[in-house]
Amino acid sequence: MKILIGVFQKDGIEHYIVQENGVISLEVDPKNMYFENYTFIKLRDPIISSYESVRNGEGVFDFRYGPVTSGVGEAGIYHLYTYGERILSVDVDLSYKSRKLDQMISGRDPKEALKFVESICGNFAFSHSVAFSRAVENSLGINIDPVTESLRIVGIELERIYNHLYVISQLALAASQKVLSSHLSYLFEESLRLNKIFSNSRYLKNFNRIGEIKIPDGEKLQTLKEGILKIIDDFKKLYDHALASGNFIDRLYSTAVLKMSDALKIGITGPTLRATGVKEDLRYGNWMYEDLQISTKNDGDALSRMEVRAEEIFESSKIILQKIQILQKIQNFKTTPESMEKRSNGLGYCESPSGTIVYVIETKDSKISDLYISTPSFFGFKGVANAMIGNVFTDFQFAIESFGINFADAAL
Amino acid sequence: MSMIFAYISFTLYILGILFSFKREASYLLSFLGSIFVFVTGIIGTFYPFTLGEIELLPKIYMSMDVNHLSGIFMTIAATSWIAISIYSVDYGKFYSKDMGLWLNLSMIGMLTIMMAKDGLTFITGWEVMTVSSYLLILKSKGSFKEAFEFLAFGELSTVALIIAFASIFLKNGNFSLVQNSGTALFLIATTFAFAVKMGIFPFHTWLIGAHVKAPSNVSALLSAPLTLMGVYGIFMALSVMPNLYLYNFEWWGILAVGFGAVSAFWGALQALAAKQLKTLPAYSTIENNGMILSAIGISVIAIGDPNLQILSAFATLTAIILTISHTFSKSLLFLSIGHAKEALNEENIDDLRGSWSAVGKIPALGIILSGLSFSAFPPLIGFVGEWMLLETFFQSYKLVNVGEKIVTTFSGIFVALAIGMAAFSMVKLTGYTALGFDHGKKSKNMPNMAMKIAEIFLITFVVAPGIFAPFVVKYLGYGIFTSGLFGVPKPFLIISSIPVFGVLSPTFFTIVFSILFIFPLFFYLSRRKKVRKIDPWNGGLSLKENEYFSAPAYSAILEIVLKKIYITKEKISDYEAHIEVVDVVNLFYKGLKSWILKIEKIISQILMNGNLNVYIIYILIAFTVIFFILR
Repeated sequence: MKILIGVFQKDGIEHYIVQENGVISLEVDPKNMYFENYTFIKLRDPIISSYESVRNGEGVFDFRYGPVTSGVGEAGIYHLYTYGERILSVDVDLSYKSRKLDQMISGRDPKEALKFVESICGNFAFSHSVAFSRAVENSLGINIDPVTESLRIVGIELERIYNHLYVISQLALAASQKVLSSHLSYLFEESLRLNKIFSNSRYLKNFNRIGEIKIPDGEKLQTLKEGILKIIDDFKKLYDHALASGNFIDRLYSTAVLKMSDALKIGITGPTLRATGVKEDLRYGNWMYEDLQISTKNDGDALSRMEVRAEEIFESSKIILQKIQILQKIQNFKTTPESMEKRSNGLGYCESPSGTIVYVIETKDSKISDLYISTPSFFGFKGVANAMIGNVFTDFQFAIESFGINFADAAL
Repeated sequence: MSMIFAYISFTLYILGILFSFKREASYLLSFLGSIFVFVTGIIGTFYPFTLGEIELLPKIYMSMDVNHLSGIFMTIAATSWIAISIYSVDYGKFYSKDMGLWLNLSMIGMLTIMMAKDGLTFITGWEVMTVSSYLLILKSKGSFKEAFEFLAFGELSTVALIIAFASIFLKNGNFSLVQNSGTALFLIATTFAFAVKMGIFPFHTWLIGAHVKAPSNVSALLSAPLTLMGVYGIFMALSVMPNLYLYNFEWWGILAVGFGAVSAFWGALQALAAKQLKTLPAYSTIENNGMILSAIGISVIAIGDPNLQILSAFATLTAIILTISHTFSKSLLFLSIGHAKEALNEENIDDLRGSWSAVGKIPALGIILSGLSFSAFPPLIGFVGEWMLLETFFQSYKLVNVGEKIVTTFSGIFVALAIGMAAFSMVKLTGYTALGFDHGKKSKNMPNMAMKIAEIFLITFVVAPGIFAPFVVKYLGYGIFTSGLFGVPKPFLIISSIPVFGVLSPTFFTIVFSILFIFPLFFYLSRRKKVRKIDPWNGGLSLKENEYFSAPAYSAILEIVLKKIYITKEKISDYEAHIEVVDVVNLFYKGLKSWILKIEKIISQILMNGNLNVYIIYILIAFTVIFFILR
C-alpha cells in the first residue's frame, strides 16, 4: 500500500514522496498516481480540518482550546465545534508555531543547518537529526559506516522509548491513574537521564553529526545497557498492572478511533498507522534492524495506539541491547565515512517515535539550497481531527496524547 | 361592610370589560379591581363573611363567601393580578383591544371560584376562567393548536367537576360546599380535575404549549393564578370532606405524595433540557405544583394519626408557602422574560443573552431574583418553601405505616432531585438571559414604565416575604411554628415541629449576611477607581461571537447521559447539527390522538357515509336506547 507523505515541485516537475514496505521513494511527475491526500499535502494549510465540517445548528459553537491554555502544551489552537459534549467538527490551527524553517535553513552550511533541524521539535530531535543527516550524506556522497549507523539506531530507539513512556504516562494522567502516571513519569525521567549519560544531552542533541556520530566509551555503553534493563523491567510490571485496570482500559477503548482506510487516506504513519492494523515501518526496510518484530493492533483506538507504543518499548530495548552487544565486541571503532558520488539532491528519512520523517534537500556549493520536510505530526493532526468526531470533551485528552504529536513538529 | 369590597371588585372588573375598547382604562380597572380583591382577601382571612345567595330552583342556590382559606388564596392571586394588570398597560399595546376584556373576565372567573360556596357557582367561575383564558391564548398568532389543547384539558376538568358536584347532589340534595358534604367520588373527581389544572404529571402537556404560545402577561396568568385555582380546588375539596381526622383518607395522601413527587421530578428534568424561553418556566410550574401536591399529600397522611397533627399542620403550611412562592416568583419570571423577549424580539434562551445591559436592569433583576427564588437561594421565599418541604419529608420517618414510609422516602428522593435540577435549570435561564454577554444587541424602543413598575412590585413580593417569612407564617395562622432559640428572638425563627426538629430564620440570615457583606462592599467601593478591569483569560485571544458557550450546550451532557429518559436524538447532517429531546408523555398523547382519529374514521365510514338508510337506522337505534334509559 503506497502512502503519499510529501509533494514538492522541482524545475516545474511535481515530485511525490511515497512510502511503501518500509521504504521511501521519490516518484517524479507521477501523472498516473492518485492520492486522496494530495491537496491536503500540496496546500499545507496551517488550519487542519476534519473531513466532517458541521459548524452550524442550534447551540453549536466553537469551543476554542488554545493558543495559550492549560492542557495545550504548545502554541496552537483546537477549534472543537460542539452543541455540548459531542465533538462535531475539529479545526487545528498550527499557525502560531510556524517558523518558516525552510527559509531559515536554506543557504546554510549543513553542519549549521543541523542545529536548526535538531531544534524543530525537541522530543524528536534525534530523528530529525538522523533524517536530515542521511539526506545531506546522500547528497554529498558520504557513506556511513556500520558503527555510526548502529549508534544512530541506538539513539533513535532511545528516543522512541522516552517518547512512548511519556505518551503512556500522559494517557494514565488523563485517566486520573495518578500512581501509574507518577511511576511512568519517573521512568521517563530516568530514560532522559540515561540519554544524558550516553550522549551528553537529555534529548540526544549534538550526538549525531553529518557523516559521523559521537562515540561513547565502553563504560557508557555498559551504563546504558544496565539502565535500559532496569527501565524495561520496571515498565513491564507497570504495564501489566495498567492492562489489568478496567478503569484505565475503559477510558481508552473505542476512544478516538481512526480507521485503517482513513489513516491511509490521510497519510498517517508510525504507531498510529500500525494501531489500525497496517504493518508499515521504515525500520522494516533497514537491513541493520535484525529480527525486527513490528507490533500492530486492529482497533485504531487510543488503547490500540497505547498497546503498540508499549510493545515498541520492549522491541526498542531489545534492539538497543543487541546493538550494545555488537558494539561491545568491537575494540576499535572506525567511524570514517566513505566517499561516494556527489549528487545535487538528497533524500533522508527515519522512523521517528510518531512516524515517518523525510528530508529532501538540494545542495549547491556545499550549502543547503532548497529543502522539503515531511513530518508525522502534520498528518497526525489531521488524524486527531477526524478521530475526535463523535467523541465527547472528556475524550479529548486521550485523543491528543495517544497520537503523540507536536505542533512544533507539524508547523514548520 | 366587608362584602362591599368584594362587590366593588366585581364592578371594577365588569367596567374593565365594558371599557375594553380603551386599552389603558381596561387594564387600570383590572388593576383597581385586583387591589380590592387583595383587601377583600385580607379581611376575609381574619373575618370570614358571606356575600349572599340567589335561589335558582328549590334547594338550588348560587352563593358566595370569603373564609380563611379563600381569603389567603384571594390575597395571593390578587398580588399576581395587580402586577399583570399594571404590566399589561404597556404590554397590551402589542395586542388587540379585546385582550383587556378577556383578562378582566378571567379574573372574574377566578374570583368566583375562590368565593364559590356551592358547586354551581364554582363550575360557573371555572368555565368563565377556562374560556376567557382560551381566548387570551388565541391573542398570539399561530396559537390555535395550543389554545385548543388548553381548552380540551380545561373541559376535561369541567367534566370531572360535573361528576364531582353530581355526587354531592346525590348525597345531600344540593350543591353546597360545606364540611361533610363531600364523598369519595367527589374527592377522586375533583382531585383529577384540579390535578389537570395544576399540570400534574401526566396531565401537564397542555401547560407547555399554552405557556409558550400565549402572550407573556397571559403566560404569567396561566402559570401562576390559573394553576393556583387547581391548588385552591384541592384545599377546598379536602375542606368539604367528612372529617379527615376521623375517616381514613391515607390512600389519597399516598397518591398525592407519589404523583406530586413524580411531577416535581419530571418538571425539573424537562426544564433542564428546555431551549425556548418560556418552556423552561412552564416546566418549572409543573415541578412547583408537584411539590405543593406532595406537601398536601403528607398533610393528609399525617392527619389520620393523632400523634402527627403537628406534622400535618406543618405540611399544610408548607404547601401554602410553596404556593405563595410559586405564584409570586413565577409571575415575576414570566413578566420579566416577556419584557426582555419583546424588547429583543427573541424566542430562545440562547438568543436572549445579556438583557441586563441590552434591555435594562429591572427586568434582568426580575429574572435573576425569580430564578434564585426557584433555586432555593436564601433568604428568598422560594428558599423558605423548599426548606420547609424538605423538613416535611425528613419528618416522614414519624409515619407508622411501612407503605407510607416507603412512598414518602422515595418521593423525598424525587423531590430532592427536583430541587437540585431546578437550581441547575434556573442557573441556565438566568445566567444566559439576564447575565450573559449581550453581543451588542439593542432593545427596541417601546413603552416600558408600567412593565418596570409591575416587575419592581413583584420583586418586593419575592424578597420581602422571604426575609420576613416568620411573620408570613403568623399571618397565615400558623404562629405555633414560630419561636425564638439560639439568641434569635421570638418570632423570628421558623420551627418545623414541636418539639423542635429543624429551625430557620431567614430574617437573621439576612441580617448576618448583610453585615458580612457590608465590609467587603465598603472596601470595594472605596477602591473601585483603582481596580483595573480586564477580560477573563481565554487562551490569549478575545472571544468571538461563535465562541461563547451556548445555552443548549449547558445541559447537553444530561440530555446525552439520560438519553433513555429524554429519548434524545442527536441530529447531525452534513453542515448542521442539533439535539432533540421529547417529553415522552407527548408521545403517549400523540399515539392516543392517532388511535382516536382511526376509530373516528372507521365510525364515520360506517355511520356518516351519506347513506340515508343508515342515518335513519342510526336515529332509530339512538331513539330506542334513549327511550329505554329515560323511561
